[in-house]
Amino acid sequence: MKIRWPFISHKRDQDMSDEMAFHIESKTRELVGAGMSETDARLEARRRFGSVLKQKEAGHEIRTGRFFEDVLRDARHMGRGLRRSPGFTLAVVLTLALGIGANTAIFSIVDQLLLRPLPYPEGENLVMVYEAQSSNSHNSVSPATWLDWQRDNHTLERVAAWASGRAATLTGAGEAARLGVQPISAEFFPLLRVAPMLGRIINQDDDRPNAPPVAVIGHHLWQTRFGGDRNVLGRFIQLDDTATQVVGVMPPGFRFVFHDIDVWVPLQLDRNAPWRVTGGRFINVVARVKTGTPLVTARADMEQVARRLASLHEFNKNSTARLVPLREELTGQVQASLIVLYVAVGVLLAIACFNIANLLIARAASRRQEIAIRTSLGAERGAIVRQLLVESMLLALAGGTLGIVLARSSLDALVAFAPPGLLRGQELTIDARVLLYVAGLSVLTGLVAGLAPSVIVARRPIVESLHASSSRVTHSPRIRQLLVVGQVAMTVVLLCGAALLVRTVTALTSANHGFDQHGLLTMQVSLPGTRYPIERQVAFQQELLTTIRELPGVDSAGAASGLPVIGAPRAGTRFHRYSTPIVPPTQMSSATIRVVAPGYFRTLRIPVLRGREFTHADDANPTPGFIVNQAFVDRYLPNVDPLRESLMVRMRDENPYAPIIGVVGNVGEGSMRGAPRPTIFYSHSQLPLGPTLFVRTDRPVATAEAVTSAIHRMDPNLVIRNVRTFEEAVAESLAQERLTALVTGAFAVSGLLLASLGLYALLAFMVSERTREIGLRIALGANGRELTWSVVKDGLRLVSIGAVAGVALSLAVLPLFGTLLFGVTPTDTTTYAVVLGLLSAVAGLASYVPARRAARVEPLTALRQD
Amino acid sequence: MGIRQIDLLQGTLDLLILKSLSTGANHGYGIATRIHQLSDDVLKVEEGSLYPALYRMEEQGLIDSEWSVTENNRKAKFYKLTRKGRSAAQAEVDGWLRLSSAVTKVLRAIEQGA
Repeated sequence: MKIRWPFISHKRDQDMSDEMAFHIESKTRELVGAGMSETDARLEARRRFGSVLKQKEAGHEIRTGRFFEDVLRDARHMGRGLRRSPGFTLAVVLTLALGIGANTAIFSIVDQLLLRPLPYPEGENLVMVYEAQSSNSHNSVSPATWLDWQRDNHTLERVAAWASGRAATLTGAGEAARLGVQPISAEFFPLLRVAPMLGRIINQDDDRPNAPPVAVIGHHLWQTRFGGDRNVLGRFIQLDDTATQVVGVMPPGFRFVFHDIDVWVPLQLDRNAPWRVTGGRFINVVARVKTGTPLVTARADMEQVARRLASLHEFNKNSTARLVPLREELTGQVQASLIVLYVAVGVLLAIACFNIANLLIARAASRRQEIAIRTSLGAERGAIVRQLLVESMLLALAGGTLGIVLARSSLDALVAFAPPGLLRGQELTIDARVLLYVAGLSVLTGLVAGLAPSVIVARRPIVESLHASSSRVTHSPRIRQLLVVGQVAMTVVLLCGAALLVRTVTALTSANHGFDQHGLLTMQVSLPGTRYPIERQVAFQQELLTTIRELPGVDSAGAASGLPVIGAPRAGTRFHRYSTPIVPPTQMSSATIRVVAPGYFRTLRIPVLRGREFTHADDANPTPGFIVNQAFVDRYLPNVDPLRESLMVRMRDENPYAPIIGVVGNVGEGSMRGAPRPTIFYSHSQLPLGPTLFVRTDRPVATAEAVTSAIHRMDPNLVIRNVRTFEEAVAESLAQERLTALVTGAFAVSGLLLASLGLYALLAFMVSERTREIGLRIALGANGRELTWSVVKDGLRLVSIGAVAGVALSLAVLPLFGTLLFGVTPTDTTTYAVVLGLLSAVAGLASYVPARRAARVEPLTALRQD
Repeated sequence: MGIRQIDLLQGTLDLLILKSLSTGANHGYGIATRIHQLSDDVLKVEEGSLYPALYRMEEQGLIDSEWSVTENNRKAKFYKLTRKGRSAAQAEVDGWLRLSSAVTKVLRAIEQGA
């Protein structure tokens, strides 16, 4: 292969060719003159010359170096050298494999979730659109606004409506099962540009109100429930007791926002209904920006549309259209965690790099004389630097290869640990993209690690090395010390970050949310609306709760619409106080709405501060009244007697005023981190509950079985889900935080180990260099303890400098991740103190071992050296 | 056989090139031929060593090159000594003569002693 280096001018190359040609020509004539045939002479001339190409390459070598061949030769040479010191090689390769492997595992997740194109054609053009208000930038959308947006915009190709997934019971296809159902408008599938694998999509005829129910099913459901039978098309399935015809099957892996959706059904909104009058905002909107239109243009266009709507309709006042790219929407919740992990693993790799740089310097130092001799024999300094870089590159590539194996297994472990929906269902593979990343990372690592020894070799005068006796002057203490200081600093940052995350998780787990979390069993029961109109629901819940309360080991039982604190966040609902002036609905205050059955507050041990909680006597009362929490009183009824107030809440079609009958303690809703919001509690006789049961018991497992069978005695077709204690539910909801803390912690501990190894290696090296001196001092009567201390002091001095730098760095960097923390500030003194304590303990140990060796030096042996 | 196979000692080739150029500019082929002839066909300069040596010496500023026309009216690249090359040639020659006479002396002495 002909290699032409860009820095050899073409002219010079041509020059050489011409010169060779002249030489061959002359030689040929000489040989012909000696009686050889023209052909033979030319062949002979060429043969003697060697090939012209070879000659030219030799010319190149003089001018530019035959780079590739040299590198290959270096690689062979250094490879042999590495094989001769397997201990060193193994240590370096394993360190690198750890660094690169961990980095690769995290990168493949980052790539999957943040970098890769969305699984829709031109998915980057998809945006979520919110009818944002000052109180809520992610507000749902009124159907009226959606239709106006659709009509008035100039920058969106399509605008589709969809509702959050709901659960439905599937019967008529094997055992009854709970399915995720996503209602969507007819624009949905054309907008995503994903075609069904079988059958057809949901079209405009399906999407009309009261059209015959149809469903498009997911690939997974098709495989598991229908055995992949193509005849599923046209078949009727029972969804919540409604006969629904299957018209299409989506390709494998198709999903939208949620992972657990099995069925898509038409939303069937009446597009002519007066939605503005009834008022609710309850649908979600996804849109596709026209190809080539920048997001800013689309945003400006939609804001313009929203301003026009606001000027036309009272309902649209104070609201605007907010476009959020779908990717941002999908990765928002994990993005921060992933960035933390990626930064942490990057720091870990840097620590590993420094370690290896340190080892390579020591290795280069031991070859000092060899290098000096070769230099004086004419080896160029550049060639030696190149050799050192080739060596570190070889090590890095070996480490990278092993790192891929490590990355694969740690990915499996991560997926096993990760909360469902975060990583599961993602195709976490190590593919060509990731391999490319590993290759690039390995080369970079090799360069960074090889840089320090190369710089030292390049700068050191040769004569000095030749004159010096074997080991003096050679270990470049300054650079090696700097490397250790850097390692310590980075380790401190990692440790502090990880410690803060761990403390966040413990704070979240043990936080007092205003009720007693211990010994609380919860489960969800789904009551299909078709068979359970609200009166039957109330009767069912009343009977069920009474039955449960009589079970052995049960203290009390209640029910509510979902879990407190960690349940789904709820939008505010507007209400009006009877004693205040009448205002239009858009100017009313809003509060969170919860529905509870009797016994809820007692069971959760939420204090009833004023009045009383609902009882079963209220179940028959058409206006049982409302209960509010203390935050509601503080915010809206500060100086009045709340029990003398009446409220009207715009929750249903008819909303009579009803009195407040009780005030209860604050409990967070929808988030563990936010302050409790003003909340209004409805009785379960007024709004459907879809009950989540709460049972206070000291025997959760036995009680869970008893409750389940009690429910099935009442109705064997009911689906019961999420049977667990509240503490388990909290732990599950914290899975992402815990995983982040755990993995960051693992990185931090690895970093600490690597840094202590670096410190240990440096001190051991320094001690072995000073053996003679130490021997002399011992011979002169120096105290062993003092010697030990002097070495430990050296180590601790480096560690203190690194620790100070690390603390400064932490104070600068960690506040950037402040939003991830809970119950602890990014500059928490205790955390820093604990980290520094741990660091000094480990560093002390790492210094003590080589120090002991110094104290045990045999004076005679030491003095005889050299 | 033997003697034709002698590899020129590193450094010796440079000396021969310098010396052969001290009588005037010449091209690569000419230099090789001249050394061959002057050594009574004993020393044979390998083309594979000659050109790298020429390029190296040019790089070191000992010789200079330019394209010119031979007596046969063909274009060839001619090398000539620079001022630095000329003084280097003298120094190298002196060094070599001292070395070879010393070696010769030793060899004579041993031969006579034996």
